[in-house]
Formats: sequence, structure tokens, C-alpha cells
Amino acid sequence: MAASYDKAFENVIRLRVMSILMVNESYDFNSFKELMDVTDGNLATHLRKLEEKGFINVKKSFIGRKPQTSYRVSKEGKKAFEAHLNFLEQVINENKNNSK
Amino acid sequence: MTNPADDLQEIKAMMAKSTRFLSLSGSSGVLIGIYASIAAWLAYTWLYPEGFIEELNNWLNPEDLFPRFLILATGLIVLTLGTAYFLSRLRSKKNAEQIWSPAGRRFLSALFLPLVVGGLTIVAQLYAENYTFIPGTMLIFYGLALLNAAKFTVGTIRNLGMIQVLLGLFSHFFPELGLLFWWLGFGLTHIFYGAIMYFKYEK
Repeated sequence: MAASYDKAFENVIRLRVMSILMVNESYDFNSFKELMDVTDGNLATHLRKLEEKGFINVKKSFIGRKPQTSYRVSKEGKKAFEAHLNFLEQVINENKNNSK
Repeated sequence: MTNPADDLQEIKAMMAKSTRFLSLSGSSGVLIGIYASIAAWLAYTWLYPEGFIEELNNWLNPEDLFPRFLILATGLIVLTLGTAYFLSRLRSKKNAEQIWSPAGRRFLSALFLPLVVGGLTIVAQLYAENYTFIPGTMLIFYGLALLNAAKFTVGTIRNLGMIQVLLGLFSHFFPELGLLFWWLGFGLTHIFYGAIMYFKYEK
């Protein structure tokens, strides 16, 4: 089981975005904004960072005349996030054992 | 590095919040159950003005009662949906959750698809002037709607759905007691479940 700490998920907004995308097939920009209560600029910066890393895929489309940007997690993103989760769990388990 | 336990907590919270609709209100369940009980009592006095008898169809002239029942049903639906919407909105404000979030949308579409099919089934029964199984059909489709939507919300909706489906089946086997089963399902069960949800999640 791969376990590694990924700096990309150190920021809480990126961590939340990835958590949401792990359990939702796709999620759009405005829904992210509402759920997490962040500003447009802040959210866009972090989404771009995840996109650059190849962790998420972006799809732009139109609903009527309104543009909509939706996001999905990529294969690499899923792998990286799972490894990150495993790492967190390991650290927690080690701490538990040490304190016994 | 941040605290791993906090991070895990954050991940879990986001997964739950983004997939489940949290703002269903228990108090609306109680109110809806009370409306349904009043409606059932009205229907009882119209259908059995001389007290309960088993053979409804022998003496009943449905044409006389049809307009009254149509008004009653419409009023009940409007009151019920209005109350559910209004109280869910109040709760969603408290939870800082949007009703029209992806989770809310999924919950509502899972709930309404079986309800629309059930509604059309009832229209067909009305059209055929066969009123015997209408209470049972309402219970079964409502129960299936709840079962279908249960995975998109928290709480005991799944059990509520099972109870409604069972009552609907009973109602098909004992159609002369249809109104009683309808009241047990839409009235009593709602009051009971609404109260449980209220004390569990809203107190």
C-alpha cells in the first residue's frame, strides 16, 4: 500500500476539493464555492494548481448561455490522494502506539 | 505539516457534506403527519358517514365525492410540500448548506422520480374509476421513493420507506382497510419518525 505525504494536499482548500471529487463523479465551480465558502480567486488558484499537477480534469461547457466549469479527479489524482490518506493514517497509528 | 488527525477529519466532513443532503427537518415530518391525520379523518367522515362498514362500493357514489377528494388531495400536497420546503430551508440556513447543492439535487431527483411514476399510476386508476387500490399505491410508491433517496441523506429514511412499502402491501391485501393503512403510513408514522428525527438531530 503506497503511502506518501503530498505537499499538494497541504493546503486545506486543495484537500477539501480532492475529498469532494473522490466521492462525486464531477463537481462544478459554483458548487465548490458554496460548499466551502471561499472566494472565486482563491478557489480558482487552488483548482489551477491541482490541474497543473494533473490531479484533476477540467471541462468547460454551457448550460443554456451560462458557462459552467466542472471538475473530475484524474487517475493520478486518485492515486496520489489515496497515498496521502494512507500516510495520514500511518502517522496517526504510529502516534497511538508511541503514546501507549 | 498540519495535524494528520485534523486533516482526516476535514476529509471525512467534506465527503459527507458533498454527498448527503443534511437539512431534512424532523419537525416538518410531525406537521405533515398531523395534516395527513386531519385529511384522513375528513375522508373517513365523507366515506363512512354512518360509521365504518366493510363494503364501501355497494352504496358509495364516487362522482359525488370526487370533487371534494380532489380539493382535499391538492390542498394536502400543497401544504405538505410547502411545509417541507420551508422548514428544510430554515434548517439549511442553520447548517450553512444550500438546498440546491449537488447533494440536494440528487436527493430530490431520487425522491421525485418514483413519486411521479406513482402519481401517473394513480391517474390511470382514477381514469379507470377503480379507487380500491389508490391508498396502497400511494403508500408503495412513496415508500419506494424514500428507499431510493435514503442513500443521499442521513437518518432513518430507509426504515421509514420500508414501513410505508409494507403498509402499502397490506393495503392491497386488505383493500377495505385502505384508509386505515393510509392514515397509519402518512399520519402516524410521519409523526412518530418526525419526532425521532427531531430529538436525534435537531435538539
